[in-house]
Amino acid sequence: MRPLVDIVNVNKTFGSKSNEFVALKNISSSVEKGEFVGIMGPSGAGKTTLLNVVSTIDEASSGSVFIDGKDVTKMKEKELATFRREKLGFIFQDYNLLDSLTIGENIALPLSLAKVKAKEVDKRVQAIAEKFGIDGLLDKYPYQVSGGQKQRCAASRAIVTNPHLIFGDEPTGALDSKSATDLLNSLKSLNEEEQATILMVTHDAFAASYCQRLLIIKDGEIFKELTRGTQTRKAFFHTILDVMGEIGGHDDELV
Amino acid sequence: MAFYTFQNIATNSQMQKAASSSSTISSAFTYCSGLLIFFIAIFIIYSNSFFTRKRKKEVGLYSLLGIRKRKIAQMLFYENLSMGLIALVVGIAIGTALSQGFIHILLWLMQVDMNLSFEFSWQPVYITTLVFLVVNLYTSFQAYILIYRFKLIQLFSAEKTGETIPKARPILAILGVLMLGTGYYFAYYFMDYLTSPIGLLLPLIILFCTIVGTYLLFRFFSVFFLKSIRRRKSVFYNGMNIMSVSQLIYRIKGNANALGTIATLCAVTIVAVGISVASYFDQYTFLKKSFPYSYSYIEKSAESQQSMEQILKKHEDEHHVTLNESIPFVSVEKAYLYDVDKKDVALKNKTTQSLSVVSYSTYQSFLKKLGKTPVSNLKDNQSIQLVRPLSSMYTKLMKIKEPKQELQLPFSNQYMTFDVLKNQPYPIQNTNINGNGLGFSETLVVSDNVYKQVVQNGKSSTAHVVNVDNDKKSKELTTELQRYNEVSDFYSPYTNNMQAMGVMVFIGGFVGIVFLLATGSIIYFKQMAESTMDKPSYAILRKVGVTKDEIRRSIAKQIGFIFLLPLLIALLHSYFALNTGKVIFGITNVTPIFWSAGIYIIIYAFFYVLTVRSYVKNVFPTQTK
Repeated sequence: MRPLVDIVNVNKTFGSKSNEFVALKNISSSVEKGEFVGIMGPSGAGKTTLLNVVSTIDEASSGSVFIDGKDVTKMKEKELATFRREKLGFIFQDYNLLDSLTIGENIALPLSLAKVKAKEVDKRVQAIAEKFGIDGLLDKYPYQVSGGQKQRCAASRAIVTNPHLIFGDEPTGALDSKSATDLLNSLKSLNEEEQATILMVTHDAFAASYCQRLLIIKDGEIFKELTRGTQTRKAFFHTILDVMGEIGGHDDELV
Repeated sequence: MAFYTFQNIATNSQMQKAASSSSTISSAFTYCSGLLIFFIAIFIIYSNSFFTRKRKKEVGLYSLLGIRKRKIAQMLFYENLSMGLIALVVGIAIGTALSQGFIHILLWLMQVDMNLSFEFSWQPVYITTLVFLVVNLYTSFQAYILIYRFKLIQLFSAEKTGETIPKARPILAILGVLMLGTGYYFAYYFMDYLTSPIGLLLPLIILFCTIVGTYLLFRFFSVFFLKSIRRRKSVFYNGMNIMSVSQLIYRIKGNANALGTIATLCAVTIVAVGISVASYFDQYTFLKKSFPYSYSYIEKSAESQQSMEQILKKHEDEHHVTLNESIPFVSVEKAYLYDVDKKDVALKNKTTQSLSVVSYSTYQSFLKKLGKTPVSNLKDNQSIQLVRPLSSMYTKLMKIKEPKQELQLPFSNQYMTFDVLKNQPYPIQNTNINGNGLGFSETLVVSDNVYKQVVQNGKSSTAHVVNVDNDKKSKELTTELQRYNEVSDFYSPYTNNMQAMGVMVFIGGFVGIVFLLATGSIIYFKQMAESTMDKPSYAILRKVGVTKDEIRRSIAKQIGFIFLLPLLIALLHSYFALNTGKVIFGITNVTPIFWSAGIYIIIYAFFYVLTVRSYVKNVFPTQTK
């Protein structure tokens, strides 16, 4: 059986021929159902580009990405939108909440788009908000709550539809360490208890240590793959630091 | 630019030659250009504030890069000034070109045939330049002090500050609806209340109620309405509705006042244009109520009468005579005609007047010729008053209860009293135009018996009424007839009024178009500003998995609400206003009103489509998927 995400020979170049920049070089990899995978690497290595291509937000220059057995690189605009809505969930560094909607409405948005019944919408929003500890803020607007609360709202929105696959683009990037830890713990429990598949980009070794498996990218290629296996989170954290040191990135980029 | 065109027409000397009643027309133009100056100044200042708001961040950045405040202020000042100057020059060029076309339209509306040569005069250029410079200096100064007014942090976060969501205040919302209702009620039953104690205050009450009601409606009722949609989850949680409704609620505070203003402006425009266009096209029927016959005159002598007949015959080809009646009557000096309840006063003060008296049988046969229903026979103590169709119409429309009247006619040495039975709107003469206005000599019908006696106590004459085909264009016939007899003709007042009405329609139309363009642009600019702010939101929606079509439909719905709401309110306003205006201005044919409202809506709809398109274009990033 095919893995949930199958990345086959993906290339991505930016710019015109005379001034070409290769962001991804022939990348192949896969993510199994129920995995918590991280993508790591120094700035400009192509982490976010890879995530964007896999998550259908950007197009690959060549190669294919199969999600749930379907080649998303060949889908049409309309098909893609529906696919994203039904199968994928997104958490971004800058939250990407809609300013004009309350926290509750932001979480309800994907359900509303999927034309879930009104009663069901309220029930699910309430349930998920309780899980993330933001059920008291549902009537507030995003500009009235803190960064950590916003990110938890974004995470709630990402998973409220029970997507097959959750993408995180530096979800902890703009959070203080307490909020970051809270969010990562939420994601972990989501992964362990609900068997949610998570693919997360991060440049933070601490965040990365929550993953089960890490793809380390350098200059558009997969430089190394790390598996946590039976290591404790702390031990895994040190392994990651070591590998990052190997890459020769500057120390200040790592933590 | 529009203002310049207007000024240009106003001062065009040929124009003034063409307009015979130039003094009233030019004062009308002066008032309107005053109105336009005011309006355009507001519009320029408004759109300018919109553009400076957009540039706050840029200004903040300059400041951050270490450019001195003075330098930035100067830069903004000169930039604004030079833009203004370019606009002025371009505007004057286009205005000069367009004004020729507009003058042609104006002359055509006035039904004046005239050859025009291209003419350029400096006066309008001076005036326009002066006005424009003042406004432009003001806006440039605003730009100049922009950097001094705000702190750096404010400049940067100009677009981020969240708008507070207004509370739905059901009481105020209901008050708004109630006020509108009151305004409408009084407008609808205007005529009934006109004679009541509050009659004189009525227009003020109506205006106050509708305008305040409109603002309350937008300010509170719209919030109330949107929030109740939000509460109806099954509608709210249905696809993109959640987005459209929330966006509207989020922005309603900033929009409410603008929408209220737009609704009021729209209503004013529709009413003004509607009334002026309708009365323009209705002028013929309207004037026929004061001048029912093509010609009416009192016979001077047998010879002059013969000449008149000959002239009519001569023009028979172009102006076929459809009615030519002679009606013998008697002028009676010192008769009394009074309301019964004011009898004592009238008799005491000896307020006599001269009247014309016609015999029953003469009038009966005249009615037959006109094809009207004959009146029943008169007793010797009864008489019928003949009135202008115009006053009879007003009596009916305003539901004035006619007071019972009595007539006293002098006989050799005593007065005889008659009951005045009813007013008959088929007089035997046109209204007279004499030196100081319009005059109408009262005419009464008495029984044949009484008439025989009256003849002995008064001066007998013969009135003639003539109807010809195509009396709208009977210039030559009219001048020739006038050579032989004093004639109250239809042609002269008609052409005079058409010229005046032509100017009215033109001004109405012109100001209407300016208002329409301005309201359209206000909404357009506002929506474009919002679309720039909402760009990130739509990017998020795309990522979350909303198709382009869904977003487009949501935007169309959202902007549709913004456009439709003021239009609906404006149409409702103008329905009630026109309903009353129709009566006051004596308009019988309402089709032109529908036409002008229709055209208005079409142009308005065009703005809607344009706004949606630009909004969508602005919101979608250039990349395709």
